[in-house]
Amino acid sequence: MQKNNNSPRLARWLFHRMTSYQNDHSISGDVEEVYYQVREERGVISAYIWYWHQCLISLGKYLIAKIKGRSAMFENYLKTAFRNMWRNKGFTLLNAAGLSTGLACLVFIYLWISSELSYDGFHENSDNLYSVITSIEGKWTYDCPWALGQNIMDNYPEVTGFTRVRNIQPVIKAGEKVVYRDAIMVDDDFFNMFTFPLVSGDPVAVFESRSSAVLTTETAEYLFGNIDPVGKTILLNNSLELTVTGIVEDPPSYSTIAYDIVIPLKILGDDRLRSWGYGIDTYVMLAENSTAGEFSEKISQIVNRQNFMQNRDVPVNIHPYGMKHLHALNEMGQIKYIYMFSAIAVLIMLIACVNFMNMTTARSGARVREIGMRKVSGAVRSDIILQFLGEPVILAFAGLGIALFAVKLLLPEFNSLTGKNISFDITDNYLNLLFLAGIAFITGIISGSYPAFLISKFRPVDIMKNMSRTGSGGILLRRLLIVLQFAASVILIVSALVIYNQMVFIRELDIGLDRDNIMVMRINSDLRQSLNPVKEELKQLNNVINVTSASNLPINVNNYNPVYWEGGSPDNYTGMFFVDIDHDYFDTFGIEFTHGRKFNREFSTDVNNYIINEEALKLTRLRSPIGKMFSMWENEGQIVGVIKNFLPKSLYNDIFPIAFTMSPAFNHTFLFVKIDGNDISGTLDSIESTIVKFSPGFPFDYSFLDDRFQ
Amino acid sequence: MKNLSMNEQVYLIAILLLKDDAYGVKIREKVIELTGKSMVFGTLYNNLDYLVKKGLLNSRKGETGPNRGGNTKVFYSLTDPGLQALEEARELQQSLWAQVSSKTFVFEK
Repeated sequence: MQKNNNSPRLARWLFHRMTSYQNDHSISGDVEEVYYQVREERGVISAYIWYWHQCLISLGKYLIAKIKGRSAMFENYLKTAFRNMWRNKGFTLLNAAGLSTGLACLVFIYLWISSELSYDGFHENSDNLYSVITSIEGKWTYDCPWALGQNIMDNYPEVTGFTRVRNIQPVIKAGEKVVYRDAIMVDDDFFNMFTFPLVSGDPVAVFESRSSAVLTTETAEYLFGNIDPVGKTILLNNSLELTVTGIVEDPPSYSTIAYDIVIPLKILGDDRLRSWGYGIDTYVMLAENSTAGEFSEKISQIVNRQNFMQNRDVPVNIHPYGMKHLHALNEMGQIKYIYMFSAIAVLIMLIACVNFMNMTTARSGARVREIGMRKVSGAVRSDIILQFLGEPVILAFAGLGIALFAVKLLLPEFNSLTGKNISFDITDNYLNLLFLAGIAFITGIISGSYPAFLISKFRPVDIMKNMSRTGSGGILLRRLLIVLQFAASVILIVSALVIYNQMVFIRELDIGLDRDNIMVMRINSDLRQSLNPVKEELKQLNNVINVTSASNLPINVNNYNPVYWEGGSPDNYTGMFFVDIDHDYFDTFGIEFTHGRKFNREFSTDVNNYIINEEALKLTRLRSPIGKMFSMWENEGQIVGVIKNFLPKSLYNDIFPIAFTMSPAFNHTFLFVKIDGNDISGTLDSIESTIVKFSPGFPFDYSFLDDRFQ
Repeated sequence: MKNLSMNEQVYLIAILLLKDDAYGVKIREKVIELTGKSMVFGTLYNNLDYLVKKGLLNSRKGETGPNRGGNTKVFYSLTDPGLQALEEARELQQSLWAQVSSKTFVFEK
């Protein structure tokens, strides 16, 4: 009768586990007893079923009771935690302040990083959009020949669309209003490729006619108020009439393509559009199933027989559009800041945690008796650990609350500091909140872990006997932590100071050209026609020292062209930047010469000649450059002077080789007026009246060169 | 002292009635008999533990018995507070229902 008589073993084991210290496995025994009764009465199978029934239901009830029991303990912990914090107000406040400051910094960094990472992600086709890039002398650039886009589209079936984008700042006139706005000129595929939703107008048809324009809602409102602008005309640069064919939503701040008006490139005429001349951004869209890697290989050797530099092969490649904001072409780009700030965030969090750890451990002596009491009244070590982990977590969450509040308050300052437009609504994105809560939780746990484990080790015996021995175990680690904390703080403070100094340094650096008190303005079409008379009149004004004009701002050199010089030929060219200027350019900016002379009005041939900077001279390796032949785009002339280098936009960039020319073929975009600083507003007024005299249809919009520098 | 719930009264009375024989199996039997509803052992012991914690019951380890797989029996008995609580419960019960005659149960339509 012994075989197979016993109750199910697994169930029996489960019962065994379900005991509390009070009933001492008697539940197992009881169930056993009844099992045999049931077996007698109803047979083995019924008994088995009965046994399992008892087991499972009991298990359920037991677990629920346990949880209820724990939560009662939990309430008590909360109560004691709050009471503790209240009793040590100063300590708690300090801790909370530390944690919330750290968390606030964390939140700011998190916001900044998410903002940076989210650039350009909103386009539906973002996975398939690419910039076309070309390489000149090993350096990649976004500049492409005008005809390249169409050429690619024609020759590669996997390209489903292309568009070029050109930025201009025209003057827009609508009715009475005249204003400068940012505009982009694009091809027909633009709205197809990029997700800029049209509020009114058909994306396919908006550019059917050449003289059309699409306004952003903001621009439309500014120019036309409440009237529907579609069908109305605007005047571009006082010369071109465009019909408004659509309205587009304002582009978001996290888009690298920004504009107030969109205009079709077709306006410029087929010749321009089909030329292989340089200098426009081109984007392509690949078909869904094509792989960028394959395409990039196919495209990396384009031979264009269309007379770009005499059949020279120019490497062409593509660069994912999503990466444009963060990843520069030839170097690391913005993304290094993301790494940097992440590291800083981790560092800050570490400091906050370590700080908390130290403070808690140091005060642990005072809590020792409480621990003793708890242990005596039945608390297990794990309970104590939970308590001491719980307190910092509660503190951390409180700190998070304060931090979020602080962030909300300081957000405007933060936005102006970083030049962004971050909006932070807590209810916006639950994932965000969850993430931050997680961080707070982890911070709490980390901060509390060390003190928790240390303190819970105390034995009631030692505590009651009041042995100071209980503190000795932690001292070494505590000292280590303090050192760590100081080290991290010092690192951060020093870095901040260094960065600050650098910025001051840059600002005050003598970069080789004079930029104080130089007013800059754009040359509009009216001014361009009478540029020389304008300059003459301006020079006559009081307090005006000199006037000059050029194709670029002094530091923003971005026209890159092929050049060759004495001993060279059009076939082995090099690339150089160039600026088109007038006779007074070097004087106005106080640029020094190392060789030769500046352009002189006496020499009429100077319009064909060149002045280069030291860097360019280095490239040519000419020992005595004056008088030697120099040519840009096969326009041969002579070098008449060499100037000292001036430092470029960013100190990290190399100094560019620059050639200056006065060729009448190039338009000057900027007018520079150097004033002597007396009565600036009066001077500006007289300048304004002169300008307005010559270009009445255009607003007087100017800035100062040293402002632009920041 | 808070009033005893109905459930608690059932358990205490069951144990009272069982006198010296009040251990798991028997208590469960008695409670099932008194309430008419079935009960799992888990529930039983949850409640017994709770009553001990509240100080209304005492537990005492006893001997083992047959068929118990070597596990001892644990006997429960009422403590003085337990007895008192039960007494108060009975008084409350009687005074409550004394005022309610069967007539009050007829509801006006």
